[in-house]
Amino acid sequence: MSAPRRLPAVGESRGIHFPPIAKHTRADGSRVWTVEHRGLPVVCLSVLYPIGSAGDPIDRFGLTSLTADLLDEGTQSLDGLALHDALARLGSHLEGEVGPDAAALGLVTLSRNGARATALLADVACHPRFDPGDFARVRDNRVSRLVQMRDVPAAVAERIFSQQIYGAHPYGHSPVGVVASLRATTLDDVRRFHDEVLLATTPTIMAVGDVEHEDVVRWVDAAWPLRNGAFRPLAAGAASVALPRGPSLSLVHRADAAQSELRVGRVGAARSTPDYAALAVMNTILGGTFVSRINSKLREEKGFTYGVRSTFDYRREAGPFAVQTSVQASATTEAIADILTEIRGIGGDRPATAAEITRAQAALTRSYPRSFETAEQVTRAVAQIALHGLPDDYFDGFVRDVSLVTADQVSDVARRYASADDLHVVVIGDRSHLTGESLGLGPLVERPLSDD
Amino acid sequence: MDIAYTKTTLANGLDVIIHEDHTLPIVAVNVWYHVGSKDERPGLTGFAHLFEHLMFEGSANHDHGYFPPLQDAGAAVNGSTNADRTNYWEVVPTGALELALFLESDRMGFLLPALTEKKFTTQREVVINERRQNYENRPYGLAGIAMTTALYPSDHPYHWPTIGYTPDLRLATLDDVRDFFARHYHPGNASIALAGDIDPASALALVERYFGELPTGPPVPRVEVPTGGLAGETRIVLEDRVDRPRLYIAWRTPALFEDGDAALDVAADVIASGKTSRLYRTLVHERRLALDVSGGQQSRELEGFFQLASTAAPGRTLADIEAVITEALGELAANGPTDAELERALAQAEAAFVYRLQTVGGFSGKSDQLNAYNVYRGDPGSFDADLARYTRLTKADVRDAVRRLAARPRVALSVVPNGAGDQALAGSVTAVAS
Repeated sequence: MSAPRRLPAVGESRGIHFPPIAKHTRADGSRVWTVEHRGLPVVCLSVLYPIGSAGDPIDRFGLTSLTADLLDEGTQSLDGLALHDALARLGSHLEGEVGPDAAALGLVTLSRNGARATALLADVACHPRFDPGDFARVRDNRVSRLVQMRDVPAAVAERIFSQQIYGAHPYGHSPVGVVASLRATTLDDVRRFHDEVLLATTPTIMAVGDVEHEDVVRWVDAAWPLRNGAFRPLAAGAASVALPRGPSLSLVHRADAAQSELRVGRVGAARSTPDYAALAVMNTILGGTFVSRINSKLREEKGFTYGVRSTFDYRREAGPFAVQTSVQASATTEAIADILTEIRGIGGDRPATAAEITRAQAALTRSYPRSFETAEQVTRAVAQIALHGLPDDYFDGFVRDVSLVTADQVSDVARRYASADDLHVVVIGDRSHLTGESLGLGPLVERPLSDD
Repeated sequence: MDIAYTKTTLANGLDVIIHEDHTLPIVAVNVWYHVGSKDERPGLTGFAHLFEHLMFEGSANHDHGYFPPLQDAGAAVNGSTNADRTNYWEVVPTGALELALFLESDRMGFLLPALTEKKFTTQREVVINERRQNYENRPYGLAGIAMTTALYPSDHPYHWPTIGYTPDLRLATLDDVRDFFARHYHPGNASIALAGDIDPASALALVERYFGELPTGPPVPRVEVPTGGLAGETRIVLEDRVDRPRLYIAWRTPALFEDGDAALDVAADVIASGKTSRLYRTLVHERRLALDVSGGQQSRELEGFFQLASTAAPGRTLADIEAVITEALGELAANGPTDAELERALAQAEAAFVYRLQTVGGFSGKSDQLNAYNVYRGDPGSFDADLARYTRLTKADVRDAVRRLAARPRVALSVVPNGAGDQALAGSVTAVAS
């Protein structure tokens, strides 16, 4: 029998709870965390060090990232080819990631390979080969890549935007560094940094998948060296560094570019903010989803862009709030004005409506179960808990917190965190399409393409 | 490792594939239409993809946008188009299955009454902006278009890019769109897979309720593939806003699942994938001629192509790289992979099959794979048969596949910095990439 053609009601779905984390602290203070995630014979193994590019020495921007990149060039007992051959035979390849606050190294493998994969991961993390020939090649290739990135509008926009909103703050440079600092970096810098800084922070070794905690602890104890002496506490934050004041308008000229790459934003909120749930609701309405106000305006109403979104990047200290998009060149000025209007609106004369808030809350809470499907997804969540000291039931609590957010809270966080008065705007595009005066962002500053 | 499923074909021709997985309270809905840019005609390119955009703009019985009710329900939603097929998917909480089925069925049966000139022109602009963002304003972004344009003659269905030519998009009319929909978007040319927290009998009843009444459309004729290939080696050059020159070399190869397809996958692994590959060791590690190297067999329905790519290191030339690639390929064609290389490649292939089963939905989850096997092989349960194509390969199979490849004419595309045409391989002519 056919159905009436109208939107069916959404039924209830069973809820889920974030799985328990089994924890073990080793003699040196390092942590081994396991989450059993059954179903397929797969395990995601990783190690998280709570230090990232924000800890780069002032004259060695890119050092953390370069060091991490060199780890998989071989270990003291396995040269690069032998190491990658061993990984490939486990059906794995190493993934390294360096962000502003943390460095992580991990792999996915079949769970029957857990012991062997743990041993390889430990060897890579703790006993790198650091061969001079590998160092020269990897560093030179990173320099070449930095030069190549000048032709990637999104990469240029990210770099300039970070500089604009953070200035001399440690979040002001990109993890990959700059040409001059990479050229100045030596293998001794890398060796020292690895031993005295990276390995001196407290690692969290995580296993998520079809494994038992006792087995994981055994694998780690068999392979992972204990640190001589205590791990260092985390360095104090850089909260004293003065941030540049907005508004500002910066342009990197890209002659005849088909589109203009845009960033609009400011320094937002830290991971520890008590406003986290309210910000999630506010951003969902403003620009966090396809049906958000900004995407509806720029893509679905005007067709200016393939897509636009706004994000809050929550870090140990306040991370960036940014609207990012790429718009057809002829629409550059109008698109910026539209974005500013939407940001002003949600914190001012067009506050989020009750219907918008209910929808955003539903979207955020009902999407919860599908966020933890794969071992890698669960690992990313566990890493958040490890890095930011969140309670183990944090993600369950988030669902409850979102459902309690009020309209006043949404307006309040819009005013405080997305205030339109001090926004920084970055444009990578042809200057002939930008009419800066009309935007009320102060004088247009042209920036060079080079990163030095 | 075959996964349990049921397949039912409704009276109107719609294939319905259902797989139970109660791990999480979610369901994946995945719809394939067997239409891609191969089904377009010269002068009307970019249609299948433009159509994908229009499918999210509302239908007769729900003309308020496709995304809002799904987002309210906590769903993830997307779609994609390639040369061979178009897919649409939702991953929804269990209680929103009926909502997703209503929306998918309504746009399958009742899209055109809701389609307006305004929706059409706006989405056309969005697509032209997608093209600018992903092709025109991106380093090396037009290389793929230049390559397929040169590999296939102008009457071959893979000659034009899926994103389409901008002038064609601008000339398209609403009538063209209506005609395209009527021919390709109907139950007889579609396959729906559900995977997740469902009871198969009641899920099938729901599908029947919403899709059963939709009329089937005209049979879709198989696309004609012209015979004839490249006359000889073709060298082309494309100038772009890039810092380093990059060389792409490609050959036309057997189609998806045809003899040689899996062997070329393994060959690509041995020669160009990852730090163990032969070309990485030679070009990047030992001789430092290149910054990177990549390669793969692009398996497609009508025929595949095998491509290698590598970016020259500062002070090095594409001719240096080309010589190494030609030698490495000759060596593999002569002697095949080593035992160690074959074992390694097969270990990776086997693990990749397991990893692909980790999600019920999305672009490579179980529901998408069930549909892929159903559309391309007529059998959703082809996981084991597909894996067996790899596990039974011998060194001689790989060697012979590379030997056949190396004997064919190839296209060598040099992408060089603007004004530096002299950095291309000798004898290159200007590429067509529009």
